[in-house]
Amino acid sequence: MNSFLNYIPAPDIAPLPSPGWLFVFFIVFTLILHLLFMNLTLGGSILMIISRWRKNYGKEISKEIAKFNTFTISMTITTGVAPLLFIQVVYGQFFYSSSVILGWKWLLVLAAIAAGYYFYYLYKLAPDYKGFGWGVAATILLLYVALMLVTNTSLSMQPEKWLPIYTHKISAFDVKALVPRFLHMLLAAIAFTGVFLMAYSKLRKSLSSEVAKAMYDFGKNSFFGATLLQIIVGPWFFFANGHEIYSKIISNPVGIIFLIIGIAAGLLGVYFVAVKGESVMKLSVLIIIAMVSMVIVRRVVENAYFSKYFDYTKLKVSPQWDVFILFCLLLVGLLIVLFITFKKNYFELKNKKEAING
Amino acid sequence: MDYPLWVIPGIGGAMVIAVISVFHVFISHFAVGMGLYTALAEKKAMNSDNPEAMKFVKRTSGLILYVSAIIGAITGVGIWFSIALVHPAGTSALIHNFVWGWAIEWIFFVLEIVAILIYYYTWDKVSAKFHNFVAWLYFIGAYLSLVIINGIITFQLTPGKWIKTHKFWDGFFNPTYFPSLVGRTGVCLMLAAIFATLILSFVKDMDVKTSFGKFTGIFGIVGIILTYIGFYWWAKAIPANVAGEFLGGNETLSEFFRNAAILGVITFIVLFIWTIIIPKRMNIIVAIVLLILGQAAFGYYEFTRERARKPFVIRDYMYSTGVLVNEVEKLNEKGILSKVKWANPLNKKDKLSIGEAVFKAECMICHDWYHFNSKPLFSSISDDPDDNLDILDSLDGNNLMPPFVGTDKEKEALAFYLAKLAKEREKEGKNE
Repeated sequence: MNSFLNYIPAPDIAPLPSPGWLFVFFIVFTLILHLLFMNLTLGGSILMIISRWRKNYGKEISKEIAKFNTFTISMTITTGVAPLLFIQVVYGQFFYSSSVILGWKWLLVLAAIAAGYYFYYLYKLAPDYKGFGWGVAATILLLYVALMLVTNTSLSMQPEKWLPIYTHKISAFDVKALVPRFLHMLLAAIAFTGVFLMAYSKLRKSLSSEVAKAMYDFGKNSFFGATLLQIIVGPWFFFANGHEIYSKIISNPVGIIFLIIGIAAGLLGVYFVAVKGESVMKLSVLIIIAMVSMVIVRRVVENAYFSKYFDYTKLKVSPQWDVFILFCLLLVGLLIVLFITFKKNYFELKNKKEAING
Repeated sequence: MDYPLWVIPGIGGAMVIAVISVFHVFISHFAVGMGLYTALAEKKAMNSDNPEAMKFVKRTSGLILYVSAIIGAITGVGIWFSIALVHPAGTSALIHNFVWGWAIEWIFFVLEIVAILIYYYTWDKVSAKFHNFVAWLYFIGAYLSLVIINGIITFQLTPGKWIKTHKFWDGFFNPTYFPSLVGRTGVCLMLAAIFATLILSFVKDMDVKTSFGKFTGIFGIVGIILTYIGFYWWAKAIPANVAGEFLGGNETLSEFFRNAAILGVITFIVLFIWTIIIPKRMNIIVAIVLLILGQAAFGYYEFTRERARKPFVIRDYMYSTGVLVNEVEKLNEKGILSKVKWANPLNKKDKLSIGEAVFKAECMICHDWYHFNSKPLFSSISDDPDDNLDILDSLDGNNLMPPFVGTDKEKEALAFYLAKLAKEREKEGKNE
């Protein structure tokens, strides 16, 4: 029988260097870190374009986003490496296969990031408010990156599609739930960046009060509009996965609890904005809760797909605890060093500014 | 290899890896060296009364951000993406053994990127002392990344005791770990000095040009000396049968290694003259010549190392084809296509299709049909399948080629397919 199941590669014969659950934990943990920055990069890029057409200080807002996004792109790449690393340990046979099937489309992601990054600088460094075309080009490239990431993730979970795509019978984009998944991520990124812009407008002292006010309103509307649209896109995505998958999410206590928390957090934010009057603090907490909850739900969905073919908890383990402990110590060390450096940097910047202002 | 195959005729997967890697190795070593260079140069400028000195350091630090933090980071991830596309089995084997090593490298990567962003954007906005501290943070992050990745790269060539124990540290601190670390540290310093000459050549202030010219010269020369010590030691630390290939055994490999050594000496001489003896005459032409010389010297070394590993991805453990050394016997019985199912996804049964599938499974990774490394292939094969069978049988005796793995039927099919390729090539040759 030439079933697609025969074409799923066997797991690597080398044992896992730690129990599988530990890698799953780090996939979720580092993905949350990555999404903090990825949301700003992607959502910020879209809003950088949309804001430009706003009458009310649109150019200023657009350029301000371009300025901070050169940092967030760097951090998006840096934090994106970790979840990709850990997913390869547990689900390598799926992830490598879908990557190879995508081939150039997958590899071009990196060229798109590099070019997009430089285009961002061209927009950011252009005098006055020129160079918008570079900003548009960068956004298109980053949208491509997002689409390919979503495509590869979806394809890795649907091995029944591999052979038809590999033999050019169907398109690589002909995978289940691709469009709603992409839109769902995109809207979430926009909503997240909307709240970030609200906070940024309050914290960034160099903005004039008019620009700060315009940015605040723009951020609020972006969050509100994007989250409202999720009321349509969210269920579309949920059901597009098919009965087999969504029934597994509902029947899994972790899945259903975090799904409800995530949806409630988003809706509560919308309610605050529309009825009660929002506060940046409340919305920031809610959007973080929504994001973390949805990453956990995402994990339940991932497991629902992969567990059809393979149980990662049954893999042989030959633990390298010593190396793992070294990793943990260094991770804590990194956080301490970064904390001290940021704190010191904050005071240094403040002191120098005060010294200059006399 | 159980995985789907990335078939890109005319380019070849190995070529894709090579192109990305060439960029990355130059930029990454430069980025590490430049960290130390900037930290020391900034200290030197802090002690100088000439404000031009600090301007020079600021400009060189821009190189790190715009070149290394962007292209360096992306090509680094690029190597990883491309090896996963071309050789998922090898990548998976490395990740299964060294994932926590990579995770540690990621920590240093985060430190490196955060530090360079803070460093570049706080010029003149914080105290000089704190600013210099951040330069050191950047250098520590960058250097420790090298300390980690060096363990994984050297492991592929000389896995040492790991072959028996499969223990992380046995693989990491393998026989060529320390020699390679010394050599690569030297390369970092050399490349940083060479890149700094690009900025130096535009400096108008003669005091800065002289004092930082000498500083750059000493930095680079120490680098080249370390490089020589490291790679001499490296060549000695490699098992004799492998080192023999690039120390006279194989013509191409020996030429690569010799070129690396000779170009290194010429780089040393040019650098010495234009930075120590006549630093005021440093100009963009000399800087570009140095850039080409230095990169070529290092490039030849990297190709030597990569080629010396052949026919393995991980020496004595996994062949370039993704076949494990310990599964050869089993596959000779069951057939290579029982493992590499994706080479024949439509499960065709005719001899030619099977031959083509075996070619994709065992040959394509190193020999593309058209360009990449196709010359040795087409100069060996013949339009007579029987001759090709003899060639396939003789692979056991070739140190740089893996043995043929598979059943006799598969071997015959491959010989048949190779004969067809040879005939086609002959026809094309006549038409031209």
